[in-house]
Amino acid sequence: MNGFKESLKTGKLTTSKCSSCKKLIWPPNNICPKCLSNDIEWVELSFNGKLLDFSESLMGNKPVIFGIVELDENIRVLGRIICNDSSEVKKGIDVKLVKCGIENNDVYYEFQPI
Amino acid sequence: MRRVAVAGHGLTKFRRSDDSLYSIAAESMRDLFANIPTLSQHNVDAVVVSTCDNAQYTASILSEMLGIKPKIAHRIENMCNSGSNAIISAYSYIASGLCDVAIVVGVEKADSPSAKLEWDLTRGPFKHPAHWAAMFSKAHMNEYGTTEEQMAMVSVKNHSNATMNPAAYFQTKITVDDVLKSKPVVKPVKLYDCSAPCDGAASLLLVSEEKVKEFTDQPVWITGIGQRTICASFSNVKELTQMDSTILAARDAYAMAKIEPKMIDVAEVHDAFTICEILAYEDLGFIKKGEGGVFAESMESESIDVNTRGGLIGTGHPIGATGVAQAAEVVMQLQNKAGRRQVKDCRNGLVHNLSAAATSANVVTMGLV
Repeated sequence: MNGFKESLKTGKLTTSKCSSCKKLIWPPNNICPKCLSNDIEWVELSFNGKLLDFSESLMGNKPVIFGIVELDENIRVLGRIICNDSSEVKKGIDVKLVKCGIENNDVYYEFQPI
Repeated sequence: MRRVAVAGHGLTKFRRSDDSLYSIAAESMRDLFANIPTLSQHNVDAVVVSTCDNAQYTASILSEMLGIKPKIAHRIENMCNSGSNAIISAYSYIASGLCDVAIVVGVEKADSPSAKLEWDLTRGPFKHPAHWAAMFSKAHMNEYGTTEEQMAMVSVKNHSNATMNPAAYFQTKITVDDVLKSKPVVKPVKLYDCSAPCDGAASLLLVSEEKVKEFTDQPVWITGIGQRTICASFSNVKELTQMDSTILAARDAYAMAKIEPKMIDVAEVHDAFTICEILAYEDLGFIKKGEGGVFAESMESESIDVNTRGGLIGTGHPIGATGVAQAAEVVMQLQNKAGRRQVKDCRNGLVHNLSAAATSANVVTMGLV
């Protein structure tokens, strides 16, 4: 688990992968939920994904557009969607990860429309 | 397995207060003893506490406070499902013969740590439940044409019901316009689409068939139980137009009770947000998939009454207390003790909880036979 946060601080989005059965494990864990092996390696995830749906959160100091992004590896995250023109943000558009890290003890993922 | 009945309930006013977790829980337990005059401390052989609070050793502390020396005393934590999980645990102890008389007490303070699932790093900083509620709302609106007005009607009904429930935190009727004009939280979820954290406690007395006559001549039988965990992280919930855990839990509960959804007269469903109640109508099988929004418009003419005590939205949502308070309402309805909220000719009732973006759910059915 530390591997995930350490990588995230350097701008890399990683997760664990089972060395035995090759299952990608998300959220990352040191046990494979499929074959229960604890032989785990860390792999970097693709930066590309699709915006499945999005909305605007008004819970913070300023409005934030966020959405469910499905990365090419078929794993999902809730990420911020950054763009100058909010009319570009539509369901189904391709997005790429432009930034990730840890802020106020929360991990975050930022995507931009491609 | 032995049959298990609920003999009676105890409740506190849902509120914001400086009262401690223990004193709020004890208040509902005193109310339980007051409501069941033949119940003495020495009768009780299990105390099961439902809370998400960080407080330690709650079941033993409450047992000492109330002068009970039970065989079994422990607490249950399972996010918003905690209350029904505590009922199911007490049921299992009695059904298996490990004990005969169990108090289930659910309690929470407004500042409960389980308002957010900190573990779920797939949600990034969007950990507040309103974010997943917005995603479920949008998916249902997109797939079935459900509207913000229809969601608002759930809140209007539940606030209205709450005005007939002296224990409810909210005591004021609101209009569809009030909901639509309330502060946007996460679009399309607005403030009045949300349940509110508060303080509160509820208690139940569960008793074996052999002993139930000692405590009531109106036993309410626990007839069906279904539980299902799909996952824990929001990212692994793949379907947002339905709550798969609820569908599967309901199926098991109805099968165990040997009843159909249409036989349910009163249901307490988990309206953490208005969209959750609309999804619950469908996923508990009261209506067809996709008709939840339209059903919300016509509730008053339907043959089932949902959230008569005011739901989580009107009554408040002290997380560990909620499932127990919902069950207390169904017990009151089936015992014909619900006062102004009484539904006529109630024979079967249902309690529904869901946790953490509907990753898991519990369904408990109760009946007079």
